[in-house]
Amino acid sequence: MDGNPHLKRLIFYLLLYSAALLAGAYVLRWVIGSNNPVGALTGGVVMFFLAVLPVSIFALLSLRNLQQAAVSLDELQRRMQLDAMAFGFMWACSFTLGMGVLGILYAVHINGFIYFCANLAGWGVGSLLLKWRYA
Amino acid sequence: MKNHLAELRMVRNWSQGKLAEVLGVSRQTVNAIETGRYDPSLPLAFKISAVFGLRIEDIFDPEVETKMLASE
Repeated sequence: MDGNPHLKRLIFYLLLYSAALLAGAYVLRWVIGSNNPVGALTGGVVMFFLAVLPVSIFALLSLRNLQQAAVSLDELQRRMQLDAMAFGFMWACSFTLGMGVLGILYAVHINGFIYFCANLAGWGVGSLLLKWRYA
Repeated sequence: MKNHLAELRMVRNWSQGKLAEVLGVSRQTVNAIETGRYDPSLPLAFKISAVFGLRIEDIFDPEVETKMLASE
């Protein structure tokens, strides 16, 4: 990453937004007092405000930060990030597939948030590997 | 792709950071080009040739296969 401030800011905001979403979900669950807040409430509007809207805001803010970071990168850094994201995507795909198979077999039942973390972790590992390769 | 970028840079007594600043890229990119780990894009290659006042082929050595292809 070569200390690119825009890229660091992107990662920081991604973690911040996701932490805010996760914290919001836990607060909501605590307030409602149910393990399944969406199931406890009914109606599309409530569903929209509880899940779709915050995630949409997250996606918009992340895309804006990603765009700012992409503009500030030079050609090698852009290629490295593209490769790192591809690495993260493939790793997350494999992980999701594995968990899906285990889920069908009733072997595991985990929160979907773990897939987001797996994707970010794959991106991070990919970035480090590519940084080492081009160092 | 092999190149003479490091030699040309040293003739001018420039650091990798200085060359990176002139080219508008990161020091990591200059290092990767010099060590042959990364081949620059055509616009960057033209920029490098303009900075040193040389032709692209005077800075970058084409691969053996490319030379053979050109001789055919």
